[in-house]
Amino acid sequence: MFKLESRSIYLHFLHFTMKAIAIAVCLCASSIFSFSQGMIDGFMRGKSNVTTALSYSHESYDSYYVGDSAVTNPNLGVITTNSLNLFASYGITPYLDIVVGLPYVSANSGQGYWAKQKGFQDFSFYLKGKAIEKDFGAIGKLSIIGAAGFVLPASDYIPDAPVAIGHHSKNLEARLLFQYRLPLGIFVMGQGGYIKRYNITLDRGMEVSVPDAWDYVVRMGYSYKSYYADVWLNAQEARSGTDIGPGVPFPGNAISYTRAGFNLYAGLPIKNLGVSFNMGFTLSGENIGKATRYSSAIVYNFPFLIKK
Amino acid sequence: MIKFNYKYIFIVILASVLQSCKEDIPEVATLPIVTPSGLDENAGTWKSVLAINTATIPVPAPQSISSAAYQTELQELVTLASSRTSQQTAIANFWAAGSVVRWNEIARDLVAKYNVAPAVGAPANPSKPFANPPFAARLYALLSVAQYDALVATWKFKYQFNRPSPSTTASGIQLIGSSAALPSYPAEQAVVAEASRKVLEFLFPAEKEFLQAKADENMLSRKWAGANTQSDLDAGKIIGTSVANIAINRLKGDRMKNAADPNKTYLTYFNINETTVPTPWKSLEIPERAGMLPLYGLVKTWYDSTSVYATQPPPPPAVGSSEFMKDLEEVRKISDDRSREQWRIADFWADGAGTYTPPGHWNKIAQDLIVKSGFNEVRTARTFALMNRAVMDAGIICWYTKYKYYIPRPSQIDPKIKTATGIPNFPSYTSGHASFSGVAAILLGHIFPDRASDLLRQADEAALSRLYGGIHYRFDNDKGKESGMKIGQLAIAWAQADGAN
Repeated sequence: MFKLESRSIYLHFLHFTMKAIAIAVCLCASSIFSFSQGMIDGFMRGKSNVTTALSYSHESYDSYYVGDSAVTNPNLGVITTNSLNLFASYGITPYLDIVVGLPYVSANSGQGYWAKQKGFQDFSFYLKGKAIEKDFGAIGKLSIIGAAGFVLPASDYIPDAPVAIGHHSKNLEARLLFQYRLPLGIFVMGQGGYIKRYNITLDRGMEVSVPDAWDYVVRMGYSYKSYYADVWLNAQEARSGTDIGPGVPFPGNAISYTRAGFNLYAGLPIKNLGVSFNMGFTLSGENIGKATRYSSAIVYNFPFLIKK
Repeated sequence: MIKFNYKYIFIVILASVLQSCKEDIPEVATLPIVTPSGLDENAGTWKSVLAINTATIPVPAPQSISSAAYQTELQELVTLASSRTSQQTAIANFWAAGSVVRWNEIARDLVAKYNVAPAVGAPANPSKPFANPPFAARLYALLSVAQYDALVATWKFKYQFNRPSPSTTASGIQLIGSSAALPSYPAEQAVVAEASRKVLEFLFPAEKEFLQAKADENMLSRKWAGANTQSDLDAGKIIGTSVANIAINRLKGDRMKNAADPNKTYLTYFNINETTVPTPWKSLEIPERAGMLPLYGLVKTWYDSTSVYATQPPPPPAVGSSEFMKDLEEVRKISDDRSREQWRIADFWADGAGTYTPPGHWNKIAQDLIVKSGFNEVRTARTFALMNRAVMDAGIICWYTKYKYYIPRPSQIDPKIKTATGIPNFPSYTSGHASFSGVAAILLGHIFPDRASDLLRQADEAALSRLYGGIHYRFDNDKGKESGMKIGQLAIAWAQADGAN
């Protein structure tokens, strides 16, 4: 029997996989932030429940956008990013969750001589609260969820290089999310968020404003027994910033993009364990790699913490 | 049924707070208004670089201060200075930091803007020069020399005509910057504005309008500051024009036009072939790019050329020799296990594409010391001119050595050596950073003796940054710095005899 409550846990994780990783991965021929669908989904954890996930993702591109025109750079070749991501979510109350994530990222260019970059990227922490829930009975259920959190660099990684794992800015983020669940396991979700990024000081001694951004996600999904699938569209729009160019600090670039992808999840015969596979594609962008990403994860719910 | 959890309202509030608090981009550091520590009344007798004969500069004798013409000018000045708006005051304050310092900043900004490598194989575009480090060294030298020589001439005229500063003869003027005790005719900032504008326009023809606007603003600011009348400014402009023309003529004949050497005559000139250089340097860029300015080593030096070329470094260890392999091994070790601090240092001193270049970095360091010391315009220009001539000469010797020995970069010999900075597209031995930094630190240490040891520490760090970056051997640094420091001594010898001590 797959109860809705526990299913939502899985769903939650799934969303994470694409995203934490995502939030995580920045790299570039131009410092390029990766697939972030945000770490916030439309399902609450449930009081005292803990879900954890460990995912691996691989992302690569050989062309990137300078401004909004795609270029290739033979002196960098294919830029590849691999990352391992830890994710955990805990339900403090039925209406309030804590969500945390920490990725370890490694980025490399296929050509040229720039040194590979690796290290813990940014630690993310969110409080997520369900503000409104309206049950329409046979025609479905509406949830409105708000979330706020912060992102802190988890190591002293290098923010301003052609191959980098992140921008090293401290961020604050707020999101508002609507989710409508139909009977038969179908749901639609839409969310909008604002990411405030604080200035950073580069190794060359210069202080740089890292642009704030608006972020939007829409998702449609379906679950049946212990299986789950969704498709998503994610857009991020920098509020200011520069184009990639000689001497222009990468963290100050105006990074915008539209990405799409899907998640697949299946519970395993072993209790409390599941696996997922995800892909994401860059449809268009500015000052970011035209990357494709694959990722896979194992998800585990701690049974001993679940109170009856 | 709707369940509403009031405690989550904070989230919505936080969201709106986030949206409303916009963080500003840090302001450009403001410079203090300089109240010069001395007038240098005898600066008119200082030795000029380009042997300027003031008799050839057509500066008219000024009208007496009791003349009607001057009184009209003075009245205009009092009106402007006493009714200046806050914006005009801000502009006057800006230029009161020093015209030489401000034009040096403008030059650095333009170098950064033009420090972009053209596409491989693209024909030279005179309106869009590539402001690489050798180009920049030459530009900073020329600008500083034009400013310095023009100001030496200006001081001569100032004390010849002795027109008192307007703020001492008219009431109602609150002077911003400069010294009321300095004779006002010709206006020193007008000299600098006009000389700088002309020199920079010669090198960056596409910036003509931008430079004219800056020069106009600089001159007008001296009225708002209550410092100079129209005839002071006009006389200054005449000096600026005359000296800039002499400087530009010097530039036209300095052999820089041969430096790009598209036909690779340098291979013959330096006798580079399979026998003499069995492991020649090659471009590591894709596609391969011709080496940067192979004949820059033959450009005319500022200090005595025999003495300058006498500082040439010895031959480097042969590629493959045990001495060579030891230093290569060191680069590899750093590349394999580069610390965060080593990366920081590599990046701090990189001054690569799109920046004001390493010579520009040393101009910034010099500027900070000058501003702290409250130098007047002519002493400021002297410091920059001494340093920038020496920096260019060190660059010339460095480039001569690079193409003479044609030593490959570490990554060419060992492709596993990965870098923390871009690999410059010219041979390795000696290091440009080490040469530029060694010479600048020695000269500045002479001008600012209490900072000498710190300056040498910075020069060492700048040189090491290239080893940490993985693009230079230690012997590149050591020999580059050595040669730079010897050229620094030539500059010091000049400084000791120029009459400014």
